[in-house]
Amino acid sequence: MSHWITIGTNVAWADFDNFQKALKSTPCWRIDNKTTITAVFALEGNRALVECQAQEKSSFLNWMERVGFVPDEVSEALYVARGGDVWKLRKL
Amino acid sequence: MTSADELRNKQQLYFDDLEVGQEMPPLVIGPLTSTHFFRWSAAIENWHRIHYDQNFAIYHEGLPTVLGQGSWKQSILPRYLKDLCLPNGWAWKVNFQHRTMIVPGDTVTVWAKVTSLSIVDGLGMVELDVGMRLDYGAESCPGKAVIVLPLRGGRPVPYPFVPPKAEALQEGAE
Repeated sequence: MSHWITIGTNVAWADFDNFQKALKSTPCWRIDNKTTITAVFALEGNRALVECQAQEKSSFLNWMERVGFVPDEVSEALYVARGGDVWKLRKL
Repeated sequence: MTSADELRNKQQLYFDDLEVGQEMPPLVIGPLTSTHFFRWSAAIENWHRIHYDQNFAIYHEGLPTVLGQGSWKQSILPRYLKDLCLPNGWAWKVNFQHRTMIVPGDTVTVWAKVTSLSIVDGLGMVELDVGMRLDYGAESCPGKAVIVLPLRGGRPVPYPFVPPKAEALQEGAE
C-alpha cells in the first residue's frame, strides 16, 4: 500500500451538506478492497486536500475523476506525523 | 435492537408456523461507531490496536480504518439465533465466514431465511441461511445455522439440548 496526497478543487464540497453526502457513507470513502480515502480537508476557496491509501495511484486518479475533483498535483507521502504518532508509509 | 422486556415476554416461535423460504425478523444494529468497537475490545480484553487506534490501523496495517471485531460478529449471530428461539427453543448450530469488514458508520442487519424443515424425535429442526448485511448491500457474514423449535402441542425442547442421534437426523431429512 502507498499513500498519496493531493490538493485541488471541488466546488461542490464548499457546502457542508454536499461534503457530508459525498464522503460520509462507507462506499464513498472505501472505494474498493485496496483503495481508501483516509482524509479529506475542505479548504477555503473551493479547495480541498485529500489523502488516499491505495495499491495503485491510478485508483486514486479514477476516484478523483469520478467525484469531479480537479487536482493541482498528486504526491506520494513518505512519512506522516499525527500528534506525535510517526509512521513510515511506503510499501506497507 | 431488541429490549430486555421484549425478550422476557417473547411469544414462542413454533416449528409449525414456518415454511421454507420464510425470512425471519431481522436484527438491525447501528450505525456502529468506533466507541462500539472500543467497548467490545475492553469487554473481552482484545487489545489489538486495529480495533481502536485509527493511526495504527491505517499507517501501520494498511487498513481502511479501525475495524469491527470478528469476535463481535461471532457473538451477535448466535445471540440473534438464540433470541429467535426464546423462550423454549434452542439455537443448535451456526457456522459462517468473515467477509466484508465492518467499519464505523456501517449499519448491520442480521438476517436468517428458512432453507429446510424436518421433524426429528418430535422436535422441529429448522435449517437457515444466515448473515450480516451492511447498509450498502455487502454481506459480512454469510453462513448456515440450525435451530430447534417445539411443535404446537409437542414435547418440549430439552434444556440443555441433547443433539439427536445421526440415524434420527437422517430419518428426519428423508
